[in-house]
Amino acid sequence: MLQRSSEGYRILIVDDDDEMRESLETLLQSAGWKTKTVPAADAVLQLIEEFEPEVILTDFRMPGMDGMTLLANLRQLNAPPVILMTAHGDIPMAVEAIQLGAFSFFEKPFDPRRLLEVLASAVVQNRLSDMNNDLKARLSRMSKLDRIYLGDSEDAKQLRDRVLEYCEISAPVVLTGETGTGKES
Amino acid sequence: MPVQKSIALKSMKPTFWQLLLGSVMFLMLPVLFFANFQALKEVLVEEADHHLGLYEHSLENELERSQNLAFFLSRDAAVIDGVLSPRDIGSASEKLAAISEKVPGSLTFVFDTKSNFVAGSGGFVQVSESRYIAAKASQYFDMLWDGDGYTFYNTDPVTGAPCYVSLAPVQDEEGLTLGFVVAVLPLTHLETFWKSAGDQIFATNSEGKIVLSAHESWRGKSLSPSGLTDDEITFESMSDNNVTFFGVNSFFVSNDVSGIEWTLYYVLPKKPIYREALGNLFYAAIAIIMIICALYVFNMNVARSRLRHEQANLATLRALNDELETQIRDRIAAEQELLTTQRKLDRTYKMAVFGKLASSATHALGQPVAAMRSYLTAEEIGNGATPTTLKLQRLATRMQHILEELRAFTRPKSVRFGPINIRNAIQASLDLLRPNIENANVRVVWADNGPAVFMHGNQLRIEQVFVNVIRNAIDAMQSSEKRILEIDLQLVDQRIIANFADTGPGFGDTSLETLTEPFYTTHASGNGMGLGLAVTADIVEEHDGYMIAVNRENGGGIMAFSFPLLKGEVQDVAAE
Repeated sequence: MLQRSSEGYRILIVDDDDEMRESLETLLQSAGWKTKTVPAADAVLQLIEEFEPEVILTDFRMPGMDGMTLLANLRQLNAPPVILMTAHGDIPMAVEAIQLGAFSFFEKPFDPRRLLEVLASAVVQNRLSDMNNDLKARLSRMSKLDRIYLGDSEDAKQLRDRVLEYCEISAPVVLTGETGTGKES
Repeated sequence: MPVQKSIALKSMKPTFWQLLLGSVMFLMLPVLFFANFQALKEVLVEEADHHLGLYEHSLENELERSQNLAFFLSRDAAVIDGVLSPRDIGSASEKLAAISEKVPGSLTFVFDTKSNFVAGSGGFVQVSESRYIAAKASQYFDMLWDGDGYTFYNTDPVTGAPCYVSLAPVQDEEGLTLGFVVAVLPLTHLETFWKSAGDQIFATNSEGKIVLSAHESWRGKSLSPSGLTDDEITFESMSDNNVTFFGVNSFFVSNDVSGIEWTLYYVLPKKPIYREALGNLFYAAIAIIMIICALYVFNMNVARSRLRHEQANLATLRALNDELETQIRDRIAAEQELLTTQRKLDRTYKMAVFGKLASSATHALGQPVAAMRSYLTAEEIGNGATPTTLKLQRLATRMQHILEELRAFTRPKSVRFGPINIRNAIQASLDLLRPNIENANVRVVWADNGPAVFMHGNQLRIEQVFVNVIRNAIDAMQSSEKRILEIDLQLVDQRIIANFADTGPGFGDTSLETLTEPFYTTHASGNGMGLGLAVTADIVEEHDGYMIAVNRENGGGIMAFSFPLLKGEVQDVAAE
């Protein structure tokens, strides 16, 4: 069922080991995933633009940029969830990875079915999150809030979300602030 | 101590030779006494001989004097004239009186051939006395007629005192005997002299009768050969000069007096000699005793000094021994420590090498195994599972487990230590293994609500220790009827003791060292590599702990761990 539901999910696989990369590609394709593989972390950013992966599965130890650095870099962007793999894993490393925002952590060798499950759930969660964001944006547009309260900053976005949330409450909501913050427009 | 005592006793005891010497010395005492007695006797006898000579000489002098006096008077012209013409006797009498005056106590008489008194030295007693003298002298007339003088001994007819009586013929020019002179010379002064000298001396005449002696009372007694009991002077044996002198055992020396048939005796009582000899013997005995004592003391001193020396030697030896012992003990301890350290180092090195190997093995094998499983799973998803893919999956899973076991050895780069509650660690391990415990049908006896016990360590590493041990216990009880795992925590001397007692077969004769050796396993092939206890030992060591494995009396084994108890901050942590 899960395999079927993951039909068409896009995954970017980053691993310097050819066999590993190829086997993961085979596994994921057999489960209906659309895959893209790269042997190094440097090409990842460009591929995010081109391929728009819904989840990134990366090896931890690689020549050049390693998995942890990649994770740290991606976290600053609106990047898809990242799942780390390692053959040297230990628990502190896993904890660090999770703290840095990794979706999950796998030790090689792993149970492939479990990997598929986790990857799928990452995609689902990511999709839900995206969907949520889309809906919020749509709601904002529909209420013309985006025209009343302008701003592309993160704070402005959050405030718009809050306003939309408070819409459900039957009480007047007043925005206050310094002159020039845009509250009157 | 016993050694010293025996040496002391041995040294203090007189030796056989000393005993023999002492005995011989005491046995020699009678001989000494006798010899001393003899020597004393010799000396005294010699002295007595000397004295005797002197006495004899005086006696002879006296005799000669008496004879000379008689002879001198017989040649005196007045005397001769007086004898020739008795009427004209006056001058002769005067002469005699003068002589008597000169020689005190002496008496002189002149008789004619018919023993008629012619003249005398005077005094009223002399007439009667002269008669007696004349009667006595008449025995010797023959000699007198021949012109020879004669001297004999007599006692003074009046006083009874001993005296010499000398007769000398008075002759005319033709040698015709006209009469004779009698001179009586008393010997009393000799007796007095003898007495005053204190010597026991006496003289006997030819008949053995005492005529002159140092004691008046002896005079008249006669000497007798031995055997006559009523005699007061008994010669026992003349050759030995022994005499019983008035009941007193004595020695004597004797000499014949020339000119008169007398014998002079000098008597020495034996008693003083005995006494002196005894005295000497006494001194000798004292000397011997003193010598023995001195020898003994010397011996003792020698023994004592030897003992002291030996004791000193012994003490030195003992001190040396002690020192050596200490050195040896120290050395053994040092060696032991070295050995332990070396073993630890060996093990650490082994584990480090092994950890590196395990690390690269898990990395190198982890990738292909992961890839293999991925392919297999892809195959199963794509074309459905077949018996072959299932078997391959199982093998891959087994390989994965091996790698997981190996991974335990890849030491984490940094392990964070802090205060941990060991009770929690045990509980977490039990929780983790709950499915295994239930599957194996093992009953766990464990007081999970006990007080917190803190140690300094890493919770996850310590949990790994307990997981390994509990897993081993469960495996060990697989074929046991009774499957009970008892876990308890104790505090002994600031250390935490954690006991894991199972009802399995125990450890047999296998040492802990072997048990904790990597790849030592009792499992069948394919059921683990035997790294569990090796990892456990590694972690225990990392936590300053130690572990022991013992067999229970009624079967089963106990794995016990000891860690230092964390104090001070424990309360704080517990309070949080």
